[in-house]
Amino acid sequence: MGNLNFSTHEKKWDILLASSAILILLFSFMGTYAQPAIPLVVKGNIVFSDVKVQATLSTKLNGRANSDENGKFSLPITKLPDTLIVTAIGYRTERLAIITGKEEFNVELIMDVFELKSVEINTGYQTLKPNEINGSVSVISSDKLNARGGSNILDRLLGQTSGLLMNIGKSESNVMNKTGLSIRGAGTFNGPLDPLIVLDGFIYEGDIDNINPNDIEGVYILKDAAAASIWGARAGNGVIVLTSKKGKFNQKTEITFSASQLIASLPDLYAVPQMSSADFIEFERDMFSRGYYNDRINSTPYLALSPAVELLLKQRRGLVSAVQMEDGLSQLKEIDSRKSYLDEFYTHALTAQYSLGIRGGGENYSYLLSGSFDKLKGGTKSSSKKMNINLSQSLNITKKLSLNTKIYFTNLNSRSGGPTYNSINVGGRLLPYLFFRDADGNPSVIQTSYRSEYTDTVAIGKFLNWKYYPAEEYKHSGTAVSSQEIFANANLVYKIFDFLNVSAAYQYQFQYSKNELYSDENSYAARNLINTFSEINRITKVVTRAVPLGGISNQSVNDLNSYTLRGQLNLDKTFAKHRINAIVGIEMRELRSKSNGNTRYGYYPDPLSYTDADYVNAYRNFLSGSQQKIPSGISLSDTRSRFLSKYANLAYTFLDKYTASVSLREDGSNIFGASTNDRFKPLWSAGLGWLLSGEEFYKLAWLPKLRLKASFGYSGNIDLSRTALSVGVYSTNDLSSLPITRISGINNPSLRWEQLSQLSIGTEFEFKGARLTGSISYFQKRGKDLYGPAPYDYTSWGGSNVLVRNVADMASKGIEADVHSLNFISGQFKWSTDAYFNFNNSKTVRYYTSSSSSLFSLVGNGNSITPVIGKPLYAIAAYKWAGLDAAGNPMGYLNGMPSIDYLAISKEGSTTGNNIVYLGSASPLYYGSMINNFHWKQFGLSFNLSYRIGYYARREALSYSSLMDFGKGNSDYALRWQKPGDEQITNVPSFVYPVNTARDGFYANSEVNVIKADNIRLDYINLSYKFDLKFKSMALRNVEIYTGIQNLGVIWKATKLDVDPDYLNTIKPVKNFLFGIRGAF
Amino acid sequence: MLLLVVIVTGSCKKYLDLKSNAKLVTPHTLADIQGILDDGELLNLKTTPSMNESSADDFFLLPATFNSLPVSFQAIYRWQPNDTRFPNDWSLGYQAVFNANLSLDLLENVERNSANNMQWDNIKGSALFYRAFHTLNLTMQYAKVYNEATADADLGIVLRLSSDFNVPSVRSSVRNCYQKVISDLRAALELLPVYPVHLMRPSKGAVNALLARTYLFMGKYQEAKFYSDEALKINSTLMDYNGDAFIGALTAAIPFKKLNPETIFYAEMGQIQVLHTATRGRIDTTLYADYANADLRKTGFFNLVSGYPQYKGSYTGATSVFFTGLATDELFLIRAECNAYLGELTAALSDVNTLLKNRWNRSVVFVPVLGTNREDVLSKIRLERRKELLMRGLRWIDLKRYNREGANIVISRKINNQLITLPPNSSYFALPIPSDIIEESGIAQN
Repeated sequence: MGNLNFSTHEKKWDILLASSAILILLFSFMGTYAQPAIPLVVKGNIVFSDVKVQATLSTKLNGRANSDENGKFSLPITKLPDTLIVTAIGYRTERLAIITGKEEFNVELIMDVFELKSVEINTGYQTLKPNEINGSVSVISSDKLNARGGSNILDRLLGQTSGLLMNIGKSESNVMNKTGLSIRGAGTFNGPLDPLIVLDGFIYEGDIDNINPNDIEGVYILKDAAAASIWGARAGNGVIVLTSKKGKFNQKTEITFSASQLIASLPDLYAVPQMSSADFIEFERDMFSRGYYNDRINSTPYLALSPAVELLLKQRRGLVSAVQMEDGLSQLKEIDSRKSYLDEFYTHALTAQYSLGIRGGGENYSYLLSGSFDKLKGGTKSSSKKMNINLSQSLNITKKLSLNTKIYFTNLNSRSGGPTYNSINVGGRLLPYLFFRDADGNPSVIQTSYRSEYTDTVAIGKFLNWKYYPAEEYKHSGTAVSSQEIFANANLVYKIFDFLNVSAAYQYQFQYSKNELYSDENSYAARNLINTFSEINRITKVVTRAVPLGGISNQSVNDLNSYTLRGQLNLDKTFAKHRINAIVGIEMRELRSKSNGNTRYGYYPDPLSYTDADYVNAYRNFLSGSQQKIPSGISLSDTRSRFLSKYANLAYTFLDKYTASVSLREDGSNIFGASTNDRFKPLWSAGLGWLLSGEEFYKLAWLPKLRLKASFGYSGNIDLSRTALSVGVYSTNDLSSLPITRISGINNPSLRWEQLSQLSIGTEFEFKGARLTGSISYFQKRGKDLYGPAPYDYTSWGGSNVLVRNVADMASKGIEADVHSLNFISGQFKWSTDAYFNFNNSKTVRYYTSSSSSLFSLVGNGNSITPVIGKPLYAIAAYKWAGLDAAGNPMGYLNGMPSIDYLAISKEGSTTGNNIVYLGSASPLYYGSMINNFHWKQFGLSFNLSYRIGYYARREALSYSSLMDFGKGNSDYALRWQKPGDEQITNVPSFVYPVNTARDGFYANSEVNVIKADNIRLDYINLSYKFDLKFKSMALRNVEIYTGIQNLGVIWKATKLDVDPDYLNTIKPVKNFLFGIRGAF
Repeated sequence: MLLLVVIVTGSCKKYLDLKSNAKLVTPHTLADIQGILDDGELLNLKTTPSMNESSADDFFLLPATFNSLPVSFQAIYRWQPNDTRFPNDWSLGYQAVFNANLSLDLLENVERNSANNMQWDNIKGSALFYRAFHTLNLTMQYAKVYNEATADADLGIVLRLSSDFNVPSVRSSVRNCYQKVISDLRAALELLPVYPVHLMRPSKGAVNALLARTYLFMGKYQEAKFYSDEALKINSTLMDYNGDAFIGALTAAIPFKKLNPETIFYAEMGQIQVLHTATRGRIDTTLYADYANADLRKTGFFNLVSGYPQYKGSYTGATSVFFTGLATDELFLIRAECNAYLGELTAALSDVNTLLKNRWNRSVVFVPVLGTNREDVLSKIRLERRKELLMRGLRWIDLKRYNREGANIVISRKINNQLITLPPNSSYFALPIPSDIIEESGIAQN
């Protein structure tokens, strides 16, 4: 069966390719028809608004000439009517009608201040003119990429385009969800969420941090189906196409340089609502008196106790007096963990970036060679060094044959830093009064797993020191990463005719990375493991050790290997009133990822040595007494994904006004366990464009350019882990050492592809004098048969209570607009604005069940996609709040009446949902940015205001059970109900013992903890100065120095609380100060 | 160009046939299927039900411990209906049952021949054994005790006999549940080797032992005696607690090693909702008082913490993990109980004393269990059963079957100075089925 279907696929494609070849031949004949000659010459004069440059003049029909140094030109034409097109670098293109051929043209050229007019759009497969694209593409030039500093290219895109949203605080377990970015919102619930990243025409599978933003010339964001469908099944979330800098033919040798320094402020840990140390210690005292710690105190092995509980216990055992204890407790109350962390571990993060490049080109050869070096010091003293070398070359071997090559090399070395805030716990509890140094400045001990009193004496002093010193530990134990990457490609193009070429491209990527977690012999990590596997003979006092003395090195090596081979036929033909741009191609891709790891004990780097440990037999854990094996750290994996794709893309333009485009692609992949039919997925898209302003009836002089466009297309998505046959993973059982086959999920043969369709309608416009340009588009996305976990009767397979099924449909609509305006220009002063606006509302329109109260599933923090019919993908609902009762209990509603029966409240919530209030989206419905640019003489000043409107967020509430079990306190504790009457002034419930998790849960999920998250923030302010070197006899062409501040924080918010609505429960991003210089000579 | 296309498309099926992950298989060979049954983490380790032990009376919670527990855990301790959701004993048990059913389904596609019959039989026998083992464990927790008169009407658990998840869940009768366990085990008996390659794998010894246990639960003492006898013919080793390679110092935190010679089949109790673990639970002080001072189990099984005994005697080599597999000590006690019930008092006392001699301090004169009255001997043996097999997931079913025979045992708990009791005829002895199972499958709650 499978074979039969497959061969029909083949045939279909053969026919398509064959017919396209015939078409191409046909077009080439048509092109040879000569036009009847009309001997006419158009003459004119060009006036520039600024300095003079040479302008190029052309007509739609073959005419071409350059202006002389005075701006005069003459140009022969062959046919009437025609259009005169005047272009000059840095100026806006002018189009003038030639009707009689006798006109004398006086053309005034206006400087192109926005530079948004990137003349060509690169989709990765081909370069198209803006009017040949009917889909939605945003272009970000290298200037805009420089507005923000930092070493990550994706961070620099934010605020510089429409349609791109950074998902803050969202936690999805989806495959491929690393970037945290979404283009036009999500199109899936459980499928991949990352946009596809393409570098110089090929999918980039490496670490995005390896790409140096300095090497990127432009970024093209393909947003809708028509734009993205050329990239196939993985483009459902949009595509970010990066193009790197290259040399140009006939270009003078140019040397560019840049240097910048980014200095970060210290993180604002004090904004974290940490419970006060005094409150915390009093709470511990209360719990101590209730006997909460007794099990811990009395059971071996003795688990760690906090310093306050140690003191309380000492007093109870009569080892210290009550006065001494109170003294000790008040000293502890003075300590603030936040200060301890800041003093000990935090520092100003620094990012230094340097680059040097040379580029140039002759008639047949051009090149670019650049090197850059980034040095980073992290906020907790981590460090990293990155070097990039970029060599790109173009060579015209003969008139017909040309070759482009590129090699991009990255070398990255990094080392982890100290512990971050709240990463150190005492016996599983966080403490607000941790301290890392004693009064004399010596590193102090923190009991992390067991009580020091116990570990110090249990082996009568014969074991290694069993103490943990956080202030020292990270110097002795840390992860070092070293990674090298080569991303290379070559593209050989053979011109069959002027308008037809065939290209063969090969891309190769190799990324090698080595992670080593090395804990030296002095680290707690090593000492602890050695002691754990030690035994002592109580009579002879001889210690035997199963883990050899020395350091422990845990290494893993990953290599990623990918190649792409692509054959493509490119047609670009203009004849008479027609223009055709088409490609047909076939592509094979393989991505192989291998890793292996192991642990070496008794390890010393110098002289390099290690000792074998016994991984086979179990040894007694000295403290717990259980039999355990020494962790071997051995891991092995090898995965290979293969893709085979066939694609075609055609854009046909008639009279420069009407454009029709269509693209078609079929992807196959080696999904394991899938039958052949499931391996292929055909995708298509089509679009139409109309240059309304090109029509004769178009008379709006104030709006000289108006283009309408529409596109529609499909993309798809399949969960590679869900296959028709049940799939097992081989491994070995630890206890029996027998090979096992682990069934990781049950097979669901009825699973279908997710299907995502998108309709996009847009317009591009330009007001007279190009004072105002922009585009607006409206889109509709529809996702059908989306995967979702549906609860099911797990009697059939107890491995999970949910089963992935095609459970849902979603629909989203949105509006995107970008407007670029030259507000004011006078002499040396210029003020312009770039504004971006997005509206996006994605809703679930079908879900497997609507019987139970669907609102109930939205009760939570809104940080993961939760499908509820008619509600946004990310949304928040909460229990209605009836205040605190006279005993400080939080009240919800039960049958419309205030109640403290939390189980019944939750039951009503899950059945009728009457006691739940729906608040709204948890992801901004409206967002965007506004960038104002001011230029005066050589000075430039710009600032970006970004806004996120129309959404809600939930604060982390005080939970007494979390406080008791995990030490997770909250400054709200001070505001808790303590005495009758307090219910009038506070919403924080009273403390009750035994704690009631249902009560905590109700309060956490009640509406009092949900806030409106709308905010406007000042993203950056940049100041630059361009040296005017025009008249100097120096070789320097231009030099610019700049400085800026990033992440200035919230300047307006809807909530009155003193919080950052986007970072309610995490530490907000630090401010960055940027200084830099760049130039060329 | 066309030529290239033809070449590429022609070879593309092969190109995409490459395995995407070197570790993946679509299980179909005997080795693959054996691997499904050797997945100890799903079939043996921390998988058997624990809520029954947390509901039984061998332990209690100190007030401070009780008060520190979440309300949902307190409900279990109070024998109140509770809202248990995934993951739980039900999911653990049925995950193991799935592996057994999937193996049986996959095995149908593999032909048994002279070259593979040993392996083939072992797989079939193992799958049947695992299905029976986990079905029995779930039945003793979620169903009423087997009662000949009402077994057709009493609701048992869901019998799953295929890996197809589209088959809806229906509760079978208690009789059908026990009958299925027995028929699976009888079939397995013919197929399995006498001794296993590893103690996590089933064997003839394990099948006999499990049949003995099943018949004992049903109150069929003749059959239980027969199968305990069969099992003891294969292995009747008892460790002498005075000194054995698998026993460390009895005073140590963990005296017994796992996979010791008494073990016939190794399995462990699940840990999802447990109240009885050593850190929380303390052993019933009257039970503790029943151990003679010369009884080595008094030091080997318990650790006194502030005067209260903590259990540490599990055959798992860990304090917080409990052994729930099959072992020779249980078989001696099953045979003894059957003989006593059937009036064979000499044989009964001989078995129980054989066991106890191995638990008795060698330097102190052994005091045997004696008796001439059937009721007296039976109750003494049942006390010895409780003393030897505590924390093995057996007390709950023992309470049920003793009450079936009219023992009229009322268990009680003292919670914050309030006495709570569970009457012998309480329907709570069939523990509540998880709420989400009731919601999704629509089966009846207990």
